[in-house]
Amino acid sequence: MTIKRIPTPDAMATISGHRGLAITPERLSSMETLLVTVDGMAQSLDELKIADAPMANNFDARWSVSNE
Amino acid sequence: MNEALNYSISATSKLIRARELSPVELVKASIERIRSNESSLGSYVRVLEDAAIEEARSAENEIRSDRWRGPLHGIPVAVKDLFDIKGVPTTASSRQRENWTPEADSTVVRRLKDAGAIIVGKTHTHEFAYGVMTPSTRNPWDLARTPGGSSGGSGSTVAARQCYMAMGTDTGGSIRIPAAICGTVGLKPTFGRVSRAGVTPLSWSFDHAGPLTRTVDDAAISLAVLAGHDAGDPASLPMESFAHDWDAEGANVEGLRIGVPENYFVENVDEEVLGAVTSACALLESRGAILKPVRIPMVERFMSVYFLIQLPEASAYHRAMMRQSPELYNEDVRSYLEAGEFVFASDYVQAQRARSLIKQEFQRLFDDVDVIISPTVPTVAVPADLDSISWRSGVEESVTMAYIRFTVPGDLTGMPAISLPCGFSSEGLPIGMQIMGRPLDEAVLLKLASCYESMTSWHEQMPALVGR
Repeated sequence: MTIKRIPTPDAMATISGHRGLAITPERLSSMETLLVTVDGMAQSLDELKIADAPMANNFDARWSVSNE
Repeated sequence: MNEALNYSISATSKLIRARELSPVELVKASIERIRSNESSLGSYVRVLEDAAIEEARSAENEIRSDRWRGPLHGIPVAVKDLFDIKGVPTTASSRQRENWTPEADSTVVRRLKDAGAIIVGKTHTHEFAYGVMTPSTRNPWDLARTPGGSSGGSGSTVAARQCYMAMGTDTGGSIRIPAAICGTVGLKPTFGRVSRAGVTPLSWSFDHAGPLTRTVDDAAISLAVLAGHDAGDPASLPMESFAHDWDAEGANVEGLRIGVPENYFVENVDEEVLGAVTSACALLESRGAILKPVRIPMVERFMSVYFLIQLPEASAYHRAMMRQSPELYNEDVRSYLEAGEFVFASDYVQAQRARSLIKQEFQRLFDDVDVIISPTVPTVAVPADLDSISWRSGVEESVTMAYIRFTVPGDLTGMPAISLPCGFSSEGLPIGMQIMGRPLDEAVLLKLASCYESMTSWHEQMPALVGR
């Protein structure tokens, strides 16, 4: 089952207010398409078998120095 | 003197070392050419005329005293306006940063200065490197078109023969994209090869620094100066610099296994672009390279993983400015920064874990091939005001997504990648070919690219604007 995780405009206004962001209702409304896209991206990762893959970070992107 | 600006770094350097070419005159010629085209190109945030001429005088005196430092000594270069230069504002092409002046050089700038390079100016970026159009700047091949981005000023100035090398940064493709569509070489080294200390970040997990140049050999010369461990960048690799110790003409590619993608890099691409890259592969095959079809893994996850990491990391960096003066951002960047505030932390972590899987899959792929060749971007330079591209498949895609589609894998994995010219469209616009390789295999990429370049003359073509 796909769960829509985008908060309602009211909830988003509350969240942005708590976070100290000056996002007007108009801006929140115009952001919805972008946020739906981002949410779809997040949900697409749920389909992956991530198993015990570690979390990468900016240190891990180096792969290995043994190649040189 | 202007003619010397059309030579490669190695050719110019030989003249400087032999005292047949004055660094002062060369820098003056560089600045004159910048000034003559700046109103139409808009490549520069700031031209450092006085400081550059003073440094050129110093270089000239040193060389006269037999203290030649190396191939960049006396060579005019530029840096994207994300790289700190002590005492010079780093604006990131943003109103947020108009009055911010660093008190120290970035590591890259320090290395360039130590090598004797002369920094003639700071080039425009898409605001805070958060985009691929660089709206302030135009493409020297067609002034109605974008130079790409975010290192658009660097691509534009190198293509216009205003300086020999310009530094760029690459988070989703921002070195390789402008290089491809401005007709220059662009090298994104392995993650951790070149320090980002003193460089305004976009996304720490993906940010790379690297050179845009006119030739492959110039990129190799530059990398040898730029690479090396730096404690100031926590991701910097614990290794010495890069050795540039081969002859470009004699690069041997016999038996090198080139992966030719059957998927992803062949979908929704201009026919002319794909045709040029296919011809390039055939040319390399004629020199003994082996072409092997490959399937690119996990392609449907590339953009999800990229944006779920990049968006919140950028928003974290901009956190304070977004709360103090959000109105100073351009609308596109502000919207992305707001969206990044709403990516859940657990999604960010999942994306980082998924990135580990993508890296593993690419490691497996490189068991079978030595490099992968693809178009750098699926199309040529688009009109500066174009928002989206309609593909023959019926797919409608934003220019941003189209431009980064083929370059993002290099940033997700940290593998090195180079873009070099491989042809022109029927409209006379440059086409770029991308070569990707194993981590730390820059030498293999550069030798292969050198071999191709030595068989072609695309890199010798100049925009008409250069002759004006």
